[in-house]
Amino acid sequence: MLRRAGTGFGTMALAALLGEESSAASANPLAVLQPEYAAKAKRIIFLFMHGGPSQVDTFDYKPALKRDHGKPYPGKKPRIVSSSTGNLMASPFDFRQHGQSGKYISEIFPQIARITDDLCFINSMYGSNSRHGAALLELHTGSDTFIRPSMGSWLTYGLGTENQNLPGYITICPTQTHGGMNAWSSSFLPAYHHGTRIGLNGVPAGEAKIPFIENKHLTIAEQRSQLDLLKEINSEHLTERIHDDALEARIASFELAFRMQREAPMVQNLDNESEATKKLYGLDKPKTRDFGTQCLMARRFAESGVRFVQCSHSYKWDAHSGIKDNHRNNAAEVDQPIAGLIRDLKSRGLLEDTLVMWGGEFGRTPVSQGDGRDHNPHAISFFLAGGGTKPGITYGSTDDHGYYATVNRVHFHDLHATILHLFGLEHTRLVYSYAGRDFRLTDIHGEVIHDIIA
Amino acid sequence: MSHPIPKALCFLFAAGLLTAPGAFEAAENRLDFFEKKIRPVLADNCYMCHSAKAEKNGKLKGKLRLDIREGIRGKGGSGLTPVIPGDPDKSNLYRAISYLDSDLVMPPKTRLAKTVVADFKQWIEMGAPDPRDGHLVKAETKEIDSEEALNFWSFRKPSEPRLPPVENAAWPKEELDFFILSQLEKNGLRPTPPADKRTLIRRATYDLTGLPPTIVDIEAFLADKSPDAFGRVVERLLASHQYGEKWGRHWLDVARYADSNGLDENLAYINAFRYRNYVINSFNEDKPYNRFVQEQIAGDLLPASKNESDSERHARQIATGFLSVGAKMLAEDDGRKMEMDIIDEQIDTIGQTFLGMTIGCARCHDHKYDPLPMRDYYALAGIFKSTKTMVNHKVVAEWHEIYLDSAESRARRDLVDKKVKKQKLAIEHYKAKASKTIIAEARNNGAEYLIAALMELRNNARIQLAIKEHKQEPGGKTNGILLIEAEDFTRGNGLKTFDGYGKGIGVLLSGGPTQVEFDLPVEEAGLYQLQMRYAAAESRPSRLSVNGKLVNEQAGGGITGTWYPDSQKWFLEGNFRLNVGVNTLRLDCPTPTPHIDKLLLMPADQSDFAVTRQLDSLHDSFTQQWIAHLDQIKKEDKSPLYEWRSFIEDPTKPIDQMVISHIRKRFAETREKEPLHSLLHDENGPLKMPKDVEKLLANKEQEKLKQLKAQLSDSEKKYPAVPKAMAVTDGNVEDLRIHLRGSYLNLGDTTPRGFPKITAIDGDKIPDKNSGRVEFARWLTHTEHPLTTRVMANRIWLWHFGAGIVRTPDNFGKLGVRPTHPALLDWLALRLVENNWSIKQMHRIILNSATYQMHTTYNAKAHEMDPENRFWWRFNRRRLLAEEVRDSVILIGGSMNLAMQDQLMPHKPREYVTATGFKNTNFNFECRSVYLPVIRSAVFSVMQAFDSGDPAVIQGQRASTVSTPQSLFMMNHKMVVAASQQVAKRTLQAGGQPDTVTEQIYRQILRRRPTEPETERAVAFTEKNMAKLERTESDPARRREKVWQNLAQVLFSSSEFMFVD
Repeated sequence: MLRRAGTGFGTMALAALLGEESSAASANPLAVLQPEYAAKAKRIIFLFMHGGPSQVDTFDYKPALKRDHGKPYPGKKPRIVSSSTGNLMASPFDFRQHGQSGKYISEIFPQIARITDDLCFINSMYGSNSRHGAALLELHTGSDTFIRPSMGSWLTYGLGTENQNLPGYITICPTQTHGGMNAWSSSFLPAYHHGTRIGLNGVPAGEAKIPFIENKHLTIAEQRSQLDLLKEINSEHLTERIHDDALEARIASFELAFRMQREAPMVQNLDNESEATKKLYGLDKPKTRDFGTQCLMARRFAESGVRFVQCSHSYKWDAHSGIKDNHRNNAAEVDQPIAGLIRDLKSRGLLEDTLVMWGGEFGRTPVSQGDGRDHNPHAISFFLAGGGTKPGITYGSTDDHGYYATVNRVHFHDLHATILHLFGLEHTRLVYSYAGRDFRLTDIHGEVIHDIIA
Repeated sequence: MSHPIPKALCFLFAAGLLTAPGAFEAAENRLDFFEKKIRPVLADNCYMCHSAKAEKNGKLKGKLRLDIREGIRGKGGSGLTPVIPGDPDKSNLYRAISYLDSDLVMPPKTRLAKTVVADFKQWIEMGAPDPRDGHLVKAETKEIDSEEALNFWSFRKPSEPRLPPVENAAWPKEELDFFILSQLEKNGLRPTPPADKRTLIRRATYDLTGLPPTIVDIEAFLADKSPDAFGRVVERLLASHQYGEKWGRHWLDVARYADSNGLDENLAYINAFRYRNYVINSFNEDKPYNRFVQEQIAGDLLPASKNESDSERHARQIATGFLSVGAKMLAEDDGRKMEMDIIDEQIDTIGQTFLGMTIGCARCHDHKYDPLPMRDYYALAGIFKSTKTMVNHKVVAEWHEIYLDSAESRARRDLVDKKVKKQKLAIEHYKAKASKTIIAEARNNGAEYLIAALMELRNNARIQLAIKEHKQEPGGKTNGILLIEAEDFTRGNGLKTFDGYGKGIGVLLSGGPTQVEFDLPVEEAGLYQLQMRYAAAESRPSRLSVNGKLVNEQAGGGITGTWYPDSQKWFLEGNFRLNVGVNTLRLDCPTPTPHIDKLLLMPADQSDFAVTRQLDSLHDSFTQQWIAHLDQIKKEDKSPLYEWRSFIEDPTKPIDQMVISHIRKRFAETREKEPLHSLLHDENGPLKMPKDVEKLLANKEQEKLKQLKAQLSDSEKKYPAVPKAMAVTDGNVEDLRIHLRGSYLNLGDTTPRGFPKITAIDGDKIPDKNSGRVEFARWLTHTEHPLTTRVMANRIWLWHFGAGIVRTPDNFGKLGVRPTHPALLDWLALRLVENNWSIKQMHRIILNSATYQMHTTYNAKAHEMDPENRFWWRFNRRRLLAEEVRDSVILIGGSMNLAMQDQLMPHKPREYVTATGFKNTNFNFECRSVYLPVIRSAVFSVMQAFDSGDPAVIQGQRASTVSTPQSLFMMNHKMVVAASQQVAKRTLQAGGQPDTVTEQIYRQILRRRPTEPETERAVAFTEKNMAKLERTESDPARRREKVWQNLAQVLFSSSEFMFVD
């Protein structure tokens, strides 16, 4: 069983944050750990579509919805709903088949449609809660009720991170609403596994920075000379207090901070990317520049060994009204950047062991709410790419009108179990003991979906 | 005219028909249905997990068997009732296969076909015939043997231990030292020599106040050679206000305190600070711990003390904020789930905080390790279900708050209340009086209103029909119906918008006088009718002409309430003849137009237009009341309007002149005591006083009403401004049923309210009419309570020494770690009770001990044998807590304001604290950290970096990490930079040579003089950097300040500053 020190007390200090190949790596809570079995994925980029994209207007094509437009939904609506809804509403978008797989994709994703054979769609995702905060929490932590460690925290807890000069878990411009930090919190896992937030929703991606990393008062030279003196003072302090792991780790940690201060801005600096690459991510167009910047930064982080990177297209997909304009506009902001990211990863040979995941906290109702759609946790479409997933398939399906996932249903717990599996971790064995019991990302649920693994 | 009775009979007969086949069908046929349609489905889809075979293979899920009748009828161990014959909607099996509740869907991976689900429904409706036999073996319950479990160490009463013998009798200073020393000696270890006085005063000062000692205090202590010098230091620290701020913060960690709910809609707990300050004050007052616990659970219900002041009463009410300040999902569509989640959060917190028990585990199943069955959980949950924590469980839910009033403010409130009530009544009376003539007039017009209502229903129905028919033939033939988006006009000066007023749909609007034309292709000549859909907050009539001929001078003159799409309505604008080919329709508006969404052209009904025109003088409010009434009586055959029901049932049915005349005649003929007459005079009938009656009143009356309302609003402003607090009160008292698998959809037996049976303490009986909180609080604080006393004694020890005697401070159960010194823990628990539960007395005992006063020095032999210091062979070195880091930096910088604070968040009560686009909370205050807002889901990054932890979870022991963000903070954060600059500036202003400046900076930050080599090194550092800075900083004074500032920052960053020996 993969279990680390239980109470997280200070004795488990960073004895050696001395570099990647440290001999005392076992004492470094972020040192690279071997997975349980051969990992197909080494890192993940999660493209989070906050607000809940509509499955029936994106990747879950429902001809019956068009046929029955305006008629009441023939089945039963869920017991718990957010708002009252009307009759069935056809998608305002055309769907066409694409690629060898013949997957039907909505016209609003022309670029993603072109790489459809690289993608692994899951059309039968579902969750438990119809409210943003709870659904978002469940997607990120597996619990729709209580604050628990997030996916990224579990991954760095289980596997450490490959580049000690960068955080192991980064979330770019996340939203503060609907639980904010809960989505990247380490909760009761040791604080090393807390997601590092760079930027915030509303902050241009180009200005997103690691907290405290900037110094407007000192030059690098001044700071270097400070750190040299500090090292001397702290080493003296340590000689009178030998064999104190925390004190030793502290000396190393200032050096690491200094290196991170240099390396992180380099990784985030996109100037040296070619014009062609920038264009590939849509950096040349105002509409796609922001999310494109997030995606390009995500690739650079992933390339540099960051274990978990999340990009957030923040709270724009919540189309209670005017779904036509809303979804067309949102798709236009992310379509090029996402397709660009996946193409780029592929051409660099990174897609093989980088898992890309696209999705929101819930889907939407096939029935109308004015000219929009309400929240619907019973049917959600996700897609994965790379990282050992099967390309060019669609797994699972919903009923004729796309209200409920019906065949090969995949709960968030199952998705989590599958992600851990791709990283070489058995979800039932990645546990942390807290408050009298062993906790897991998948709680007491979760089944690995082997059918989507290559 | 048909008579009412036959219809009712007909209905009964029809209903009978539905069940008739079942009733008369041969039993075999019904069983046949089961065999053909039900059993195979069960076998294929369910038996894998719900059958004898599954049970044998250990794969039985939910203790539920579906392969025998007993199982499917709910007599198994599952507690579920899969099938209630005759009632599919209450049958869990049917609900599960219909996928109605996301927490109970079966089969879990693939949904059954709709036809199969329908078969199950039919089968259950026919009584769920089931020939299968077989018996359930009574499910073995793995309940923990409570006799044996209760013998567990932490459930036994603490017993007075004998002081163990020790060899080194000179070492102990307090009785507790005997327990430590005897264990050390037994293991061949020796206590580390005592800490020097400088180390000791720094340790004690940070320990008791969270701040560094002042130089004056250090020097006074060094100079004081008397034997009780340290004792006096301890007394001084315990008497300082800073003591409560440090130890109150410890308590807030286990009370999971925060200033926002933190889940989904994150709202400001603007009054939570009162609980926080109550905690600080309680520690400073040395409130006995038993009283402290009682107040937090049931302060509102405790008897008032003699001559209790308002503020004393408020304090015990505020204390129950403990139950309210937890993390809550305020936006949860499932209100019952929300309620049980909030109760669960309370129980979980109480269990861990006071009892060191993970009671929360027993929400869904009996506790797997401790003697806590589900019934104990729901007995306790009943107490909190009977407590009002929330005002409601809607989205976004509202928590309960109380007024912190006084006799005086209450009297003032009552006075205002009285006046307000009176004025409200006067307004109602005046309205009733003034509206009398209007209502009387409406009664005379009763027939016209009924006609208008029927006409409007008809118009709407025809429009819906037309839209539907129109849509069925997209392109191609028009079917005589044209639906036109208003913003798609052919020519004219109108404007269109798809945002704001036209959000999502697009509307026609304009900025001034407007003319627009529509070219309409018509395939068949004839009489047409134009309907227009628009929103308007005021009347803006247009001239409507068709092919140059004026049709309606008041087209589009209706009012819908707002300019926004949600108030849009259809209006009939005119009937006119159209020719084959293109016809031109023109709207000519002398003002801007209403916000027009659509035009609908359809074949006209000859009669309609003339009739509706006549009815224009009616008040729409009454018409709408008539329409609502018609809807209400749809199913009532006793209504006097029953004879016109066919028009209600089929609103598209034409209403001709005959019908209208008939209505008028019936209304005119009706006499007193007849049903129709009564209906017209019914105060709750269709001619009741409309809500917006004011608009119908004469100007003079409207004026008067305005006056009355102004007076009312003046009175309401006189309510005294009384502060509020988050607090609970008793609600509707009820016992809960066990929630199987934690879901309220699966209820088991009722459990009377009560306390966990984990100790020998029974507690008082809970009266029927109370929640039981007081009784629970008394049970918790029974002087012999083995858990409450031990858990707190262990917490106090842990907060002093950095680790507990039980190293899992929130878990004293089977999975918790056993105490390293059980006798010592009992001894401490007994002293706590014996000293009237005084926490300050515990500090005195501990700080005075030789154990506390040991140094932190390393010892190779001891370290090898006991690296985690479980035997306490030395004192544990520790990193400063998050608050201590920030407070020390700001204090030494010189800008700390030590005053107690109220709420620092600028938000209004219940305002969103972290929503995008709203003001973000800033943390730039110069008060002590304990007063900074704690925003769940957006914790202050500095606190976060130094392990303040997640305020959603109980933290008996904070983590103490060393991490990169901490180093980055010391290197770069403006708080550290500013404090360094303040120290440098101040010191340089005082003047002196570099070695004096060095000494002063050392004294301020590290609170000691530098050694000679340290001074030399510091001076060399500043000189070297002076030279380097010449290139970037031309001003020598500024340069000088900068280098000393840089030195100060290094000292702030040093381990000596950051750690306490």
